Amino acid sequence: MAKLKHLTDYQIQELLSEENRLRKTFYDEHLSSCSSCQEKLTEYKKLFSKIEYADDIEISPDFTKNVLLRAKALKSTETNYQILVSLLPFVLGLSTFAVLELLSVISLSTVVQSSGSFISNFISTVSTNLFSWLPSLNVSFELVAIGVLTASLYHLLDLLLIKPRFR
Amino acid sequence: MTENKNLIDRVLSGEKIAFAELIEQYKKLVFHIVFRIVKDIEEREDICQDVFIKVYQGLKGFKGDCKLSSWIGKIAYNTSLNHIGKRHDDLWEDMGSREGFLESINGNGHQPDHFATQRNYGEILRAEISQLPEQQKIIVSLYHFDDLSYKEISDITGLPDGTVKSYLFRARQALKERLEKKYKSEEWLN
Repeated sequence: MAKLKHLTDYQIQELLSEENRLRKTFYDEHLSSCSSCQEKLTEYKKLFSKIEYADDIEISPDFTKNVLLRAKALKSTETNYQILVSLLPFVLGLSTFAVLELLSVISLSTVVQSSGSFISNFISTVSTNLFSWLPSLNVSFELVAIGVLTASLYHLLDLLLIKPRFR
Repeated sequence: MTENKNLIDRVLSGEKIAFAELIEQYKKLVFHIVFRIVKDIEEREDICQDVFIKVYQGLKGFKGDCKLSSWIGKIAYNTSLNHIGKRHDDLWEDMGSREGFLESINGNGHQPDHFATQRNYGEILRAEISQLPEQQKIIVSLYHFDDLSYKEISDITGLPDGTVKSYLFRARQALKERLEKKYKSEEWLN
């Protein structure tokens, strides 16, 4: 191994790398008898030890504070959106009612009436007969339609606006 | 990783001071990456802020399949590339070659300066590093200033380990040659 030709710059740098300590023993024999390679190794050692002095990054003292302020503002926007999202089904439901009422598809009084009878029917049938209550329910077509419409709109909005932004 | 796991859990639970700790721990890394890629001095710090906001928003999705430093570094790297409007490949292709760098050393023809008269090693090396091709500057700074491993640098830049190693070796060889050309060896070695 002592007769090995001179180590390349690459090999000498490898010797100095923390990750390649194993190779050190492989080249040690040559290094111990070659002054030229020893000199090169010393030069690289010196360079390695001095490079860190070249770190020139200056970070403003307010940097962390500024990021925290931005994160706080972002969180408050996110909270506002969450409130909006939780109110959305009600708003959409009411708007749908209003539109349907306007188009004379349904009347609000009918819906209120059928909602009332639905709830009272539901409670009484469930309390009297737990397993055969479903067929006896008097669910109005309008209520089902409004429910489906509201759920679809909400899902669409969530998919297009809310999900990409916050999840 | 356990330390980072605790830190991540604390940030996710909304602990403000934990996020401040995370910023303190990784801001140097983020600055090194952003400052090497983005040239616009006015915008650099804003981009570093953007990086930490992205970290804040995306931390929930961090799976721990790489080190947190690599994950944050990758966000900084991609954000910087997006900002300058370059793709990863463009950055590594159009930023000069070592041959050009060495030509500039050989071609300037001036006599060796006195290294010892310039007290600040940092200043001298900074000047020499600034002459390196961009990709080598990034890798030198990640390896020597941030103490990242080849693997971590590879995770951040998306380059294979071998390429990272090769850029790093070439950068250091070029630095050494440049210092030897400009200064008497006994001076820069002292």
